[in-house]
Amino acid sequence: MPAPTDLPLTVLIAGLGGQGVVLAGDLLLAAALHAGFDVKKSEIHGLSRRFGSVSCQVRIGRDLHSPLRGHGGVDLLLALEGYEALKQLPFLKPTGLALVNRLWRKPGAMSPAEQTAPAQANDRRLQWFAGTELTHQAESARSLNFYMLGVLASRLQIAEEFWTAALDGLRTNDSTEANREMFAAGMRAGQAAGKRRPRVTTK
Amino acid sequence: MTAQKKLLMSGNQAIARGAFESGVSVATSYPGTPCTEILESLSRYKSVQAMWSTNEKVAYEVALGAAFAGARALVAMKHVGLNVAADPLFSSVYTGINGGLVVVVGDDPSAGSSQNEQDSRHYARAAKLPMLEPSDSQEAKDLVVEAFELSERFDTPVLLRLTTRLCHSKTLVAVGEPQLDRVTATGFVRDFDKYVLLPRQAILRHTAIENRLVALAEHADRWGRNRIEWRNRSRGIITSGVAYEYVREAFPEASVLKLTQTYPLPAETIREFAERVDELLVIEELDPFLEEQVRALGIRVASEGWIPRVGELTPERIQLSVERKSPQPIQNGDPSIAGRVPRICAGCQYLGVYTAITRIGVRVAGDIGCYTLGALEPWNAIDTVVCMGAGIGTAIGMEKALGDRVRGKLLAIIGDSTLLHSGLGPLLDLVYNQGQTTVLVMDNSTTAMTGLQGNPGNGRTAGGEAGPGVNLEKLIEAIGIEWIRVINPYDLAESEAVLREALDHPGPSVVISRAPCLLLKQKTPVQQAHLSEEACTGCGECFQVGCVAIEKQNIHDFVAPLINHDLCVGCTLCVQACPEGALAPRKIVPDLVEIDTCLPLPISL
Ligand code: SF4
Ligand code: SF4
Repeated sequence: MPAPTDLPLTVLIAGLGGQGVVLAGDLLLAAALHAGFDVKKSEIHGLSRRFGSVSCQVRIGRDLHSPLRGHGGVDLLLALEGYEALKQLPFLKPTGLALVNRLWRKPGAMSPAEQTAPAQANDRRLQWFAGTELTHQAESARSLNFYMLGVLASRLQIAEEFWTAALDGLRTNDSTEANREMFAAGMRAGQAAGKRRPRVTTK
Repeated sequence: MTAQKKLLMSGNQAIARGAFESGVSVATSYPGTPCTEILESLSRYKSVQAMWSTNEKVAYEVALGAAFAGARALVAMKHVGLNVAADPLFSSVYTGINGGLVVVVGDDPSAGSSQNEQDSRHYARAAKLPMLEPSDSQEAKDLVVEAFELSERFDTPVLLRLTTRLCHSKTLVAVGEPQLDRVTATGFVRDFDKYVLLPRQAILRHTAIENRLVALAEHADRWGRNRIEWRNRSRGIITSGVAYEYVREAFPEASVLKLTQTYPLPAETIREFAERVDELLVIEELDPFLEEQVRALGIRVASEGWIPRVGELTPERIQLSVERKSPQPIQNGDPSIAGRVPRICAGCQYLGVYTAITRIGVRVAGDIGCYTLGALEPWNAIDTVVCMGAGIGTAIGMEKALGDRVRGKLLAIIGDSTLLHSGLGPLLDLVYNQGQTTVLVMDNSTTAMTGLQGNPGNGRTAGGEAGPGVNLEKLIEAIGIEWIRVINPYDLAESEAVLREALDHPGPSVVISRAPCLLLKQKTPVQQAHLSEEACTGCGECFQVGCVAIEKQNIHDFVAPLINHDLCVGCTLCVQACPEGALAPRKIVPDLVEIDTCLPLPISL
């Protein structure tokens, strides 16, 4: 977590319906609450049938006002799919950072085979993680949101105990060993990648 | 004082909590984004009788009746629902209440899940009742409690206006103690001049209302929640609702007049504020509702014409609009990245029905529900969508205007829940005015689009109890339709044949397509579609089914289907659609495949 002077921090989580975006947002919210911050969260799911876009914003700080920020107002973007990440880039601050799972599901594409990355994928603020690949290898594809949340956790100064408390608060069918393991794996991957890249600054 | 417990609540949950704390004993609603969750949350409080009503007008009347009887009652609906409930709304302002009545309406800026972007605040002025607008969940909860006090003190329903952003944002709420002594209704006392709106009484009551509005305006000037926050006085901003939070974010140095009772307005407070700031802005979402009233007080508003009137605001959008002195565009995602079109679930009955309709080729007057997606690719099957229950009436009008030119080529489509909401009147009209239109009722036994709520069709109550449910065939028969058939939408040939027969029938006809929504019974499929690459000729007929599980692949020199077995539920519609027999169902060996059928998410519309 950035020092309190860097607050408030705005995180945008984006992905596809069924990927668990809202749950990831709720966990971040819970961890920040346990850590003693004021939080606000806003969800956008409209017509989010399977393969529809889902996103939410989580704001962490003291005496927060708006539950969301507009273009150029987001510090950290966590995306579970490539196109969803690129679509949300206008919201990211020029100094912001995007943590993105390497998965391309092109809207309206013929098949997963026919995917090519658009030019925006070269944006220097994007940092890529092999979440889909690793969770598949571990036979826990459904834990992708936990893996990427772990990546996000590695960039926030929220102590591990608060994440544990957040994970403990899950309903039993989400509170699986696989989810915890993938969260830890994501945390390690995020830390390793973070050594090569500067940490996010929120000003 | 003991430390208050703080809970994280969405605006909707906070409204429900506020109602519980106020001792509400009757709450009604009809599902609709952004407000569906209010009644769902209320159904968990034991002291509240929470009910889904047939439609918003009925919901309003039930709540009003409870208020007449001396109970505290709350009714919640989305913005367009208030249009349906407008009739009792206007008259109930005349009758007044007995126990408090709070009317919660949720507007949907950016029309994320709606057919329009109306600003329901105009209702307060038109119907002459007080309106409150909260800015976050805490205030939403507190305002429900205060709205009941206001309602009882001034003998009027109170409108509480929310927006999607507030409904769907979670913020911390310090909860209070419930007034459980208020749960028991005080009883109805006959008062002819008040509750019986005959013409003479109406005129008497109108005078009372005009006096009440004057008193409410005075209350607004004294009420602490219409508050001036003095900061730098070079710029002063009048704002309300969630826009207040955006303003605080965008202009932290500016002085702010936060209006919480936004009708009738506190004129003195507004004058005092305007006089002491150099430049006065009015920032609100959607229509210039406050701005016009401020200008009507003879006050100059510098921001006239700057603030966007279309689409949701954000702090950044407000900042830019003020900086550039002109409305700036909605802040969505990067438009160069294609959006994702909502899709009908793999194996849903609608795929079969729309495939059959596409083959027949008819004009279709549609309605509102999941099946509205039939208006999109690949079917392009629906030609009009207006509002709940509009399809049948629109079809009658087209038929009367075009006569023989549309005979046998006109279909009205409506879902079971929408039919019961507001389709029965139009169906009666079809019989009465001797129309010949065919009505296709899509019966999936639930209100699917908003998240599988109960309705009079399936009989399930808001509390989850099973009830008898209506027999649609008997109901439609009693209305006077003689030609009624029920089809199995998973039989393509039958669906097509019956629909053709219905369209040819000289007289009104109804076809009921019946299959439960897949979300009601999520189970592992027993079979799935498989492609024989040798047999496929690439004709593309299977793509016309429009199933999300049918992706595309290149085989040889043509495009063939690629069945996504993570999604296929084995409904066999594509198998029936393929003229070459290239697709065949294959049994699944249990335990080898883990199937993830349809969306596990709560849907929201
Ligand atoms: S059988 Fe065909 S139409 Fe039915 S769910 Fe599977 S792929 Fe879709
Ligand atoms: S309908 Fe049959 S033959 Fe035509 S493309 Fe599809 S699978 Fe191939």
